[in-house]
Amino acid sequence: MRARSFRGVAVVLVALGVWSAVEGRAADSIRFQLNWKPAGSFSGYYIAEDRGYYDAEGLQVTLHHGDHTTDTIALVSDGTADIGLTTADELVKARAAGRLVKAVSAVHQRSPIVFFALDETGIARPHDFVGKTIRVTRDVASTLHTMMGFLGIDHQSYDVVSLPSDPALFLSGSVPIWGAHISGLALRLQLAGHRLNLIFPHEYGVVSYSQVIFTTDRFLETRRDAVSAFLRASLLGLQDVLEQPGLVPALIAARDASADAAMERERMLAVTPLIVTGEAPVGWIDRDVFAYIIQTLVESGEVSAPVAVEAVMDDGPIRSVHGYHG
Amino acid sequence: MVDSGGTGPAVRHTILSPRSFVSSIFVVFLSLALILLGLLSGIAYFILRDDLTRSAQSEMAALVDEKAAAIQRWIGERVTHLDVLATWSRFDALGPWPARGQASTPTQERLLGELRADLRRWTVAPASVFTSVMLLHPESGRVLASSEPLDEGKIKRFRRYFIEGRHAPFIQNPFYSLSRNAVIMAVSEPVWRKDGSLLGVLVGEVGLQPLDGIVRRQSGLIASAEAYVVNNARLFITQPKHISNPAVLRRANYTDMVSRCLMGGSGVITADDHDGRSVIAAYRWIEARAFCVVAQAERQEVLRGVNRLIWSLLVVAVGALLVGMVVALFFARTLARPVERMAAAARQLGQGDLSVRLAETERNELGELATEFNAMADRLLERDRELRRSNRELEQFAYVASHDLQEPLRKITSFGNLILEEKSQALDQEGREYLNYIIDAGRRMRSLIDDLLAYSRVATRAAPFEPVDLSDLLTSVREDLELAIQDARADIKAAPLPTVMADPGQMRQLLQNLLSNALKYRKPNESARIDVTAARDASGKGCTLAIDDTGIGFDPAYAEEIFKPFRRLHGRSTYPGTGMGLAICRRIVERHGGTIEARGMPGQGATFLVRLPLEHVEGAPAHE
Repeated sequence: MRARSFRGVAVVLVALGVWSAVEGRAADSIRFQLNWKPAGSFSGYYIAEDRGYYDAEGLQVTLHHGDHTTDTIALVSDGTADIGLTTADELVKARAAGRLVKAVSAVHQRSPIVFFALDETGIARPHDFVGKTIRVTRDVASTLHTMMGFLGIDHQSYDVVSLPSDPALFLSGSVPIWGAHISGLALRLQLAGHRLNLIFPHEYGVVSYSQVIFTTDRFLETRRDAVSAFLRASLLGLQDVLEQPGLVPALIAARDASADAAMERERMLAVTPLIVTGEAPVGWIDRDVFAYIIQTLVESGEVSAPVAVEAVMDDGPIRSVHGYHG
Repeated sequence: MVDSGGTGPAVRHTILSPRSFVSSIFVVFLSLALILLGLLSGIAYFILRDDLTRSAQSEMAALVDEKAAAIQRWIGERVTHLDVLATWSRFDALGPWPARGQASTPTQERLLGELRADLRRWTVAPASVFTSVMLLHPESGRVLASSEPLDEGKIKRFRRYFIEGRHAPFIQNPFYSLSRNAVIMAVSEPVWRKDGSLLGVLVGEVGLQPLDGIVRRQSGLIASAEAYVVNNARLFITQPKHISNPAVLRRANYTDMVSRCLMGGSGVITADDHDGRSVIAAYRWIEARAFCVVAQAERQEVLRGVNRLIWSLLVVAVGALLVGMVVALFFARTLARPVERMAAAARQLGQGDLSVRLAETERNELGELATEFNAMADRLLERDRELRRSNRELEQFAYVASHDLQEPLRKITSFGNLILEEKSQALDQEGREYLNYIIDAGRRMRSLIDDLLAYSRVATRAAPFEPVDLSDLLTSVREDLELAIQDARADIKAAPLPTVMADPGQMRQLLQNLLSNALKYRKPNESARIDVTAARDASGKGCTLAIDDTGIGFDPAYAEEIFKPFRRLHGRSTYPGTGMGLAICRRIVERHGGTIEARGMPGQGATFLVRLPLEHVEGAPAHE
């Protein structure tokens, strides 16, 4: 009888403990600034939101979408948001410019930029770019020049041009080589049945992270556990999407009725190899990679002076998520 | 089995009901059968389940060992092949690599062309050892020569197979290759010049299909058995059989077995797998590869034999239960039937049918019991015959004696009266007084003889039973006793009385004796009050007549004495009579299969209760 009473009391106490813990943590709100409108590549966050992974971590996460004009680093730096998404290059540049932001995770372990040409053109390597015109955007141009520099190909040996992302323009053949996001025009052309030669900068020494999750130094100092919890819940959601990409259309449709939900699923599949590389745990950030990125940016003149690796990244939270300590 | 010459009714209710005896045996048999069956089933179930589980665990452990060995062997073969490639005879002729931005020498171009051709041979049939092989620049990681021309010029400086392969042979676990659009593995090793400087890093890429084939190859008898490999990030690197979506490097495995395995362990476990199915699994950590190899089989299939056994046992149990019921019933009946027959025979015997006998067919205790029973019945019958003969003789004697005594007695009283009437003057006063004594004694003697005759005639002059309306009979009796009733100023109240199967004459005598008794023993100087009532028994098979008076009553200690012949509680001078009235009443009632009893207290009246069966079967009374 006494043992039964004790068990009953213990159960009540544990329940109260769990309840109070959950209640106590529920107040931990996080504003997460995304760098694009609702997209398949954000599905992990949507899943974490819908399935209560954030709630389970005691977080109240608010997702804020953006567009091509959104300066996520500025929004996080000025405190409008707590955590944001950017690229490794932009983060290093911002840090060099004095903004106290740090990467804590990288969803895309490789550059999402790809150069492509119609198979029939015979253009299959960067060496084939010599004497050709290449369509670029601002970030693509930077990657192109870095890649060509690694290969010892002079910038003067090829031309670049800025064009809108238009399949008709590509298929017209006036500009044979296009640089774009792996889940952008190249994907649409492939899905339309066009055979493309894909040239990945990653294969030619361009090392970069994109979809980098970052926050401020102060936020890391004051709410480090919340950052770890955020990463843990987000990566759990991401894992769900990787295992079940069929979830993507519904997630997108629920957030943007005008979006091509089916296309977003294809986009998610296209970036999956950037997320799960087999060479590092999902979301990992590596000091050597950041050191190399810094070096590359310094060599290219985009960053005037070297920045300490520790200043641009903190791998503590992602290590704790994956169970690596010390 | 019962040989009965009697015609008594077969009353089947005894202290030990045959039905309850059969039920008891039946329940005991059935309970024993069920308990035995349950025990056997339980033991069989647990033994078989443990055996099958152990067997499956052994099989899975063997499977995981086999797969782990096959994986190691397959990878080892790739390393060996790369070793062979690293001994290419013309490596040393390549000379130092030109500085960045400078072109290779013509000799180097030629030799790289030869190397390229040699490398390609390792990627095509019949060798097909690698999907591609390449030589990397020792510093920049640039592809100098490759079996795939498009690979040349690529830079692999951040590939682990380059970083690690610069120092020693290295095997890179599965990773996603964007250019191959596939998950591949790579083995690498340094190529040294004769002067000890690093010439380059030789890399062989391999697709995962052969590894997948090795791991997924089915063996053993368990259809659901499968093996798969998980890397140290918990991601599948071979496709599990039961996952339809691509799982390699996409799906994570958070099961207990993988957790244990990643801690560097090996063992067997019964747990839920990645799909939530209960499985019996063996896991083995391959330290050199940071792989976790798992072999598992669905517990449901492994234990299907047990489940079949359970179903079989259930079917057998139901069958056995039915058979057991029949057998139990048969045995119960077999055992109970002789007992039942003995009980019936004993009942018949108890009801007076002394001719009943048991068949002595059993050669066991029951047979002995039947023999003893029959012997006892024989003895009883003999005693009964003797008793009957004795009774008949006695009755005959009483009848004859009383009948024959009447004549001399009549003469004594007749002649006594004649003397008294005609010759009394010849006698003196004392003589006449003596003569009166003689006459009076003769009269009393005659009353005694009459009553004795009446007593004996209850048996000897009995009439057949017929419906007798007791109400009518009581009315008639009251008419016969009219004078006595008037003399006693008696108030007799009679409730409606039933009709019974009885001897009308004896019923008349019964009521007359009881009413006369009540009139006679009234309280002095008080008028008598008599109530005659009747009530049916609860069973509905009999009735009870109650003759209740307000007379002098009697001491309850004599309630039984008063029914004995010639027994009187009062002096003859106070209440005349022979003392045979109530004895005759009891004899009549008993002849009708009923009972009679008297209740009373001195000065508080008496009640005579006569219980008679309503539906009398002719010849049923045996107390004659």
